[in-house]
Amino acid sequence: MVRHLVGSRIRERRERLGWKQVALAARVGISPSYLNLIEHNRRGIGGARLIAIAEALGLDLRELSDGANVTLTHDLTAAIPADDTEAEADQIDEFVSRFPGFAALVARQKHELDARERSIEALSDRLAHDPYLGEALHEMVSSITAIQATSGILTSAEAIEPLQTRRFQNNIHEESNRLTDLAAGLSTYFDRISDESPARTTPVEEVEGYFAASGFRFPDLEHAGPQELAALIADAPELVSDAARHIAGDILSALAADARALPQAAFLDAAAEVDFDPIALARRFDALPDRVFRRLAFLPAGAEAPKVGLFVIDSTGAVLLSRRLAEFALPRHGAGCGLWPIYRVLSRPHTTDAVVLQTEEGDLFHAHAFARYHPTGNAAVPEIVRATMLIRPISGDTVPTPPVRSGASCRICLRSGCGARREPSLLRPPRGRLA
Amino acid sequence: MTKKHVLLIEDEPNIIEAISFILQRDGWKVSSHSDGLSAVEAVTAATPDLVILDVMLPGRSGFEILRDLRAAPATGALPVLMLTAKGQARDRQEAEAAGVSHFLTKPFSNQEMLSVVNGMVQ
Repeated sequence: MVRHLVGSRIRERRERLGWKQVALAARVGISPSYLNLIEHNRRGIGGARLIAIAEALGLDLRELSDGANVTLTHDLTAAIPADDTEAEADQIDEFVSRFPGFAALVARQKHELDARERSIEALSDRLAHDPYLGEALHEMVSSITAIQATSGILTSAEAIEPLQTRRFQNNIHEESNRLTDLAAGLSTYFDRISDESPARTTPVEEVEGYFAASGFRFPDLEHAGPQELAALIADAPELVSDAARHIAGDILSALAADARALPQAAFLDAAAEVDFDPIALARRFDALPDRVFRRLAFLPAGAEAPKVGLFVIDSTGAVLLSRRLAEFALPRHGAGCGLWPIYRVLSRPHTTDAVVLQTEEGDLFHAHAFARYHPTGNAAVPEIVRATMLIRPISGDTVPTPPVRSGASCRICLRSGCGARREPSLLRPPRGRLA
Repeated sequence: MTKKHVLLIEDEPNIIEAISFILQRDGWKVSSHSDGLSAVEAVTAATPDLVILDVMLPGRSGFEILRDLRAAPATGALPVLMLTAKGQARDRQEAEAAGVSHFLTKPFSNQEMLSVVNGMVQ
């Protein structure tokens, strides 16, 4: 028996206790056939259901699941191209269970591929629309045309006056010099391009890599001045490009300001009193909610606080910062789930939206979202909107409000009858209209 | 017999010199004009038998000049040869849409230039 599979462990324990599948299934409120699929590792299990089974079997949750890796499953599903018919999409859970290392590798490679594709698009776009290159090409064609026509004359059979010959030779020489200068200019230009662009990632990804490497934990930024922040950035091996350092610098400055406005000790005490409710904290400290969201997500190392997810977007939907939880997948780029409150608050800045989200795995989360204007310094478009969402796992059985049944992203979501769906799921063949 | 007159609208001096030499040696009268903005007026004033027009000129694109020439009754049927850059398929489509009589891609062979312009004006 393969010991490390969740389903196998459930089966093993059940049999040791001498229970039939019917009995255990009834205890946790699922059908015996579904339990059978779970026990044979044909279906994953997580969240509330996993907790219920663990309780029923008298097992510690940790004994059953080694961190049911919801996020990895999502990433792998997304890694399958839409027209692929060979990958065993319906056996992803088993793949993750049996080969977590390989599964993580596939997910990583997909991420890498996406990053390179974006790099290529950016570079191609640049080549196609670069005015310097267009101009240089035009000049080269002109020069070559002159040389072609002139040398054709000089090599033709007909006699030419010596003075005219001399003139033509001079012209060829002149154009050759011009071509030499053009070639040198292009050479320098391409050198400059390859120096500027980082080898593999976009600045936003470098920043993401930096925060991930830091574990979203920084030494206390409360007393960090501009020099300390600059030193942090300069020391970061993940930040290669100037753009990435700039973006990371902006984020760190904001975090330092958060730390000053919400000093750690006082903040943690208050947070413990209100069970880490961000709205109560915002009221208590007279701070804007998104500041509280960020503070909760970036508490210094060692602080006793629950793990939270953070998602920051601008009004184009572009992801500015994304901190995922193992059980709540957040996109690194592009669209999430249309049911998330972060998208609603974009059109209602300075109001807070709070909902309870239930993922497909059955896990429950508090989701708070708040959007705010940011000045642009551009008279034509004086402000833009940025929105922040905080994701906090809900523990225990009590759910304060009916949850919104959401997913991670339409492409890999199996919910049916969702009005917010924008594309069919990879995991279900389209039936002529969107599911 | 009066020589056929070709007006060359081109701003690269060495190209002008080469084309002028080739066509003069073939019996043409060649004049040139280098500025795009005043090109249409220059054609109207010179009344050539043929115009050789480059795609890229200072001040105005060859296509705009061609469209203006086609729009005016005096020059509506004037034979116009456009010089486009090799590999720019879009240029050729636009040239055809603008009413070009013929086009040659740069760089061109001198032989081809001669046979094309002679073919355009009987």
